[in-house]
Amino acid sequence: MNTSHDSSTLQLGNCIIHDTFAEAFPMTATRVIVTALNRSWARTAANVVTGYATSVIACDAEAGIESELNEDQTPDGRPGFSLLFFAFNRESLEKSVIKRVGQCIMTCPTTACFNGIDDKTKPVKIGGKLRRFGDGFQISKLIGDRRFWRIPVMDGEFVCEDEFGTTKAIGGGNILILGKCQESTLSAAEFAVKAVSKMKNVIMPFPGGVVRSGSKVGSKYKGLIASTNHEFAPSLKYRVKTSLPENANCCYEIVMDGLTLDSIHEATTTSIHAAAFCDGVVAISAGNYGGKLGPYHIYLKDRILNKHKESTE
Amino acid sequence: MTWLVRPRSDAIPSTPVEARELIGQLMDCADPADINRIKVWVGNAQIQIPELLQITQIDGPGHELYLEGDFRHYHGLGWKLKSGKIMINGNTGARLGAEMEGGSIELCGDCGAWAGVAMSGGRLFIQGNAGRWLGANWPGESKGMRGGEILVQGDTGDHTGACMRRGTIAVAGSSGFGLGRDMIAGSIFVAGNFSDYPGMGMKRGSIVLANEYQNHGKLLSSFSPDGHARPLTLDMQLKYLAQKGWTKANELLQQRYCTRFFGDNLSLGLGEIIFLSDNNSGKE
Repeated sequence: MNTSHDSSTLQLGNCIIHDTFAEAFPMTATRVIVTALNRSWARTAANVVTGYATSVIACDAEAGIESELNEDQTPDGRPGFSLLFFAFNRESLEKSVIKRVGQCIMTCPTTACFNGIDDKTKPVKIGGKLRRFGDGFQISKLIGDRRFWRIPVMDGEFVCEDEFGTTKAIGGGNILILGKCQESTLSAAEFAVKAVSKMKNVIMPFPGGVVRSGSKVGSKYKGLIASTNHEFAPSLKYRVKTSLPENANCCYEIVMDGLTLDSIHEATTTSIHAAAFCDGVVAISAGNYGGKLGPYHIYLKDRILNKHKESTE
Repeated sequence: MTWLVRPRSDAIPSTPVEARELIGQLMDCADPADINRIKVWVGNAQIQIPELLQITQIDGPGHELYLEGDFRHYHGLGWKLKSGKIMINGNTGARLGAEMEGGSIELCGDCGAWAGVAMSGGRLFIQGNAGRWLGANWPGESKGMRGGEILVQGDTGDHTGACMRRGTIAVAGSSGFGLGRDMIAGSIFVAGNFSDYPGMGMKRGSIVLANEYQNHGKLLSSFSPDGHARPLTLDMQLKYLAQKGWTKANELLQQRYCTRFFGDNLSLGLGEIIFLSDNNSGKE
């Protein structure tokens, strides 16, 4: 690895790492395990239930697929997926997950839905509320200390765990990949997403893990809470104060939500190192609000230097 | 403290020993000298423990009791147990683990009637046979077992799981008359034979019976056929029971053909009886 740095610039290969930070926020999260008769239907349910969950700017939650699970990793011994859901607090998380599980998993053939967070000290009630769909015919089963609801549906029974554990989590970790052209920048972003998608406790809630419409807070229009991040828009490069280097003509953002700060750190490091060495990547930056909104500041420099320190030790 | 308890060979009681306070007091004992002050009722007299039992401190993680020998005259062992572990090598009298709330009791032997009656938590593992009213209700009370698990490797007597409110009973052998009678909820598994009319008066809950075409018990006509769909939770329950050491669970997991009945329609009618078999060849 070619890591060079002085007081002002840090470089990975030919890629400049901006001396800036990603600004992340505290969130509340839960993990949902969805299973089905086969992987295809489990994937369908996983994709649908995590749909329209990119950003809490306008969605009720941020959600994504954490990992694929084999038969020996799920409570009912069927293929499944592990999903993470993030919201600002437990109440909104509960509302969101109930609606999503009810409309997207319960409706999907052969699926079942289980809690994936062991700590149930601050739970959200999911199956315990969806059970009413059974109209009195629902059956409760207690297995060990876990309660499951069997809700009669048209292909048999929908099994859903009564309560899901929640945990404090972090949302809004991000990097910005600045490249020479759309093709090469997207390719680097895809490579970074692939690297992060192998990690536990992290999701990238945007389409394919990549954001093209990064936003800033506020707008010239009244009532709009977010608008285009003009500093990184190549079409505005010569009209506004830009953060794009001269030879950068495209920018993609990768947003990462994680269950712990460590997982966000690790995901940031992984994504930077994956993208930085791709052809056509000019620089890597990060999105923040001047440090005024989120309490977690993930400095890109720290991520690079920590990784460099680990690899040289 | 971890204690080893053995009956004194020269002091076998001829009358029942009311031992329901014994386990709790021994569990709380921090000083061997305190044991001498523990008394139990033997018939209508109170007798100090050292006159009946030899109790020695042994190495162990603490909060454990090992009982070795014949405790057939000792009734109420493990009564209202909240935590800790009791291992019994021998037979016990009635009311083993009655009203227990947590912890575990493992019995390598047989026990009398009323084992696990009205229990609300913990695990009672009986390697031998259990008497009547296993996990049932006290006479006059409407609710039986309210939680926890009773795993039996042998047979059980009549009225197993009567008025059961919650929890799991798994019987590897056969079960007597009145299985799950008036049960309110919970799950009962029987891998061996069963007597007539299981689930009589049941409101909710599940009774799972193995070897559909080999058993001889009759089903009440107030149960109605409910198809052959196998509940997803059934395999989850059986896998859980297998993990906990109930040996018949894996055998039941192999019996993939499932026939369901719902009832008792003379009661709430939301209970289910599930018959398992290897295939449907016995069906006429």
